[in-house]
Amino acid sequence: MSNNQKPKFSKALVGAYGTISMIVHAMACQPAKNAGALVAVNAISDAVPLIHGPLGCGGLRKMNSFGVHSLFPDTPCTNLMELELVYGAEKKLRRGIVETYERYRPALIVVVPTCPSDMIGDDLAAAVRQAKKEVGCEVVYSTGELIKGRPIGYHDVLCSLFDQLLPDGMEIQKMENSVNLITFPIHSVNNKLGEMVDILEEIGIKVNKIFFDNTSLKDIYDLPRAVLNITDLPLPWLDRMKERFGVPFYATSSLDHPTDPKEINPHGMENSARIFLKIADLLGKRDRAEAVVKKRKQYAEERLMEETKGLKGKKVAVVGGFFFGMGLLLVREMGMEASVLIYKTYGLESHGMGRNALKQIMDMDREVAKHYGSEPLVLINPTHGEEIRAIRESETDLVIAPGADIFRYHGEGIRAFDSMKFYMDSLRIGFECPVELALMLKKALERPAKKNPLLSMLDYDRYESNLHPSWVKLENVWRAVIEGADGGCLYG
Amino acid sequence: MGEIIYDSYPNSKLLGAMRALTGVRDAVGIVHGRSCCHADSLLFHVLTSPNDDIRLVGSGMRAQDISVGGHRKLSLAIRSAYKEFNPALIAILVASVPTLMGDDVDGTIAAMERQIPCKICSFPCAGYQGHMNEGYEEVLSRLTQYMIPSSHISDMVNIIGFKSDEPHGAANLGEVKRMLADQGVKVNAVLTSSSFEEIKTAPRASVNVVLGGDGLGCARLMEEQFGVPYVTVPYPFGWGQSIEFLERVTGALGKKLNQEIISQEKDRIKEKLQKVYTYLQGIYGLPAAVVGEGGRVFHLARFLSDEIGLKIKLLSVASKNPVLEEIKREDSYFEELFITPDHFRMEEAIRAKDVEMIFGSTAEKRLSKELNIPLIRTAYPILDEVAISDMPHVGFKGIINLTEQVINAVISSS
Repeated sequence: MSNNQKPKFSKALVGAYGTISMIVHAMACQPAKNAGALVAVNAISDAVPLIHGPLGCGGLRKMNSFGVHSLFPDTPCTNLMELELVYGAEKKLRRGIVETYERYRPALIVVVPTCPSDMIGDDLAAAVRQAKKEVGCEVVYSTGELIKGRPIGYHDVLCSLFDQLLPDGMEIQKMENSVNLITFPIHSVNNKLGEMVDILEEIGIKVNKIFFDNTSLKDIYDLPRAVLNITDLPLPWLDRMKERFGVPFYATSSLDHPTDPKEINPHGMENSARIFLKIADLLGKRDRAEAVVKKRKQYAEERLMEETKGLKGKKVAVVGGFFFGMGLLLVREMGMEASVLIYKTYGLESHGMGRNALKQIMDMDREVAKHYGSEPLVLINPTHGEEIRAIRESETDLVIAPGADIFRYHGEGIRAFDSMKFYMDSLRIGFECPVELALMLKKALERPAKKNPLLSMLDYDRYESNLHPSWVKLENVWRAVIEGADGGCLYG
Repeated sequence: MGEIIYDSYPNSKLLGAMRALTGVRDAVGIVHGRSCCHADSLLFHVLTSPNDDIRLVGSGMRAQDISVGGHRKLSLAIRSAYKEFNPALIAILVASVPTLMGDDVDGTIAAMERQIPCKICSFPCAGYQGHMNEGYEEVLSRLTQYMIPSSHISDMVNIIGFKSDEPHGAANLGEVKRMLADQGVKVNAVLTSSSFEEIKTAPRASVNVVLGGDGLGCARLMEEQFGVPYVTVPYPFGWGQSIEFLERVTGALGKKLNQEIISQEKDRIKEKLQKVYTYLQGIYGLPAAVVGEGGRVFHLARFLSDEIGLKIKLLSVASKNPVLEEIKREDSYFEELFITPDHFRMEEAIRAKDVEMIFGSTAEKRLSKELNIPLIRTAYPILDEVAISDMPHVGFKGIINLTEQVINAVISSS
């Protein structure tokens, strides 16, 4: 059996690499297709990837762009040589698969092609077919980057798994009233799905699989037993499940109406209730769901009312987007007032977002804030000094900003709250999330700003106020390449 | 027939070239290739180097560039890199895709050199074109093309074979320079941890000091072209090899070793070690495995064995270097030598040896956890520790630091 078990990483460890991971997420380059593919394979506990490429691809691929705090554990490669790149390497791949099986004894081998093997057009399907006769495990090959969508490579592996592992007409023993909860494997599910599972079960809906959560090959075979997939966003491989096994999906967020805050940001009391009732509708459990949701919501709302007593009317400045992030919860659920909205657009532009799209987002943010009684000042790419002046003049109580920025406000004696940490660790669909946020915000308001952060004595770029100037230079080169050439490197 | 697959160490030619190049303090590297090559090299660089001095960019090639060529993006990257960093040298590391599609990198360079007043060069770094040491050696050798012939200055040396991203690199270099300065020897250029201008003046040194054999090709070229003789020295881990290092350098310069200084160093070390002698007695004979790069790992193992007294049951070389064959003949300080780029087989070999401590890189972290034994991070790449204090692993100061680390790792283990 493979020892490719996912280690559990502490939040502190992941957090320590947070700023560094930005550099490969469209700031100075883009995560690659093989990184996406390996994230998917690595999330299957009894699977091993086989990188079909030269040693350079194998060695470099130890690095995990999606989890900079860890290396990919097993990355065997077929070590393609120059001659094989001329004459083809299908025989070598077949042998490589057999050796991989003999070494690791996995339940599943996923062949991950590389740029060189893509370019020579090796017939991966034929090599895999041959090799499967010689090994006691499943073998699947990824198509590299045929399936679009980010992260590139990730969806290819998942589509390949469904296409190659689960044949049409496969006999499936359906589990009535059951759903799969679909997650992205780099995000921790430990504390995010507990309440959802509880509520669904109380409604009478069974959770067939959480995909991914200690997922094994057997879990993949069992996925079609559910009658519905629940996902945050539509994903290409879920279309496959719908087409081939009649398992539709329900996306809690949708990009169909990107200007609708409910569609983009499905959190908070009302949205959570709407989502649970919608799921229940899809499974014919409306009656029972109404009672469960009402009870749960009422209990949470009573506590929220109590916990938000000290928050109502407090002024918050929000950095980095309002209704996409937790801003909406602040004004709607907490009753706080948005005093300043601060935008740093450089990173978004590096992601390929156009000026018009940015303006539209800002307009929507303003509109949403206004709807909840706030008239915030909007600052676009301000210097640190301009930000601080606006925050002080507006008598803001708390700044909501990504963790890498917190020291800047603390250094000025301003209280701040880490929005990224909340997003990664706590933001979820459910009634407990707003209550938890209220408690966190109260603590943040009580806690004095750190007096003298060492970070405040360092050099930063004038506009990208949490980055050393040399990183901004890297960013500028990347922008020059993608803007000057064809407008984006987002897909490979 | 041997195995064809292996679980590769970070050991590519691209990585070797990048490591050599990023030590040229005013150079910029451009990874000309697709995202994998660029993103992963950049991450290795960022995680092993100072966060405020990253000079590695990419040309952002995409699949569609395969049909139209990468010259446009490469030109944009060169122009922008020049504008942002004002470098003295731009080096293009040509990865697999542009190599296989026959991108005209030389043509792009020729065109850009007419527009940009800095040197531009390229290195073939496709994934199948070699290992880390080959990339490293090639960059160092190429740097000789820019060197300016000069008369030699007495008692001045260049250091060749240093990697600025090695564990505790800055402190190690500081200690080497300190030890040489105490002997009246000045360091001119460090290949690579110097500016391009300093490297160009390398021929004025009287002797090239080749650390652990890395960069030997460069030293040979400099001897041929500029008449600078070279001396290959051990990586100065421990007392004996620090003395040997100094003796060989001073010997090559026709100087005598200043014994008074050596005696003072010895007294300082003795005073410190005396404070922990009971622990040193306690760990004497402890079985250990040592993993690392060819240029350093033998010398580290010799120190751990001959001086700290560990039993080196396995010495594993993850990447070769030009003098490997010569060094490995002296085998009195280790039980078994394992030369492999295959991390799977290396882990298997360590498991079989029943060791109680591993000296290696972050790549050995998983095994050390599995075996529940300490890992002392002494080899590239270290992605999970930072080193900003003045704590060299080499030289006289390194003896104390490494001894302290070894003892603490044992007595704080569960």
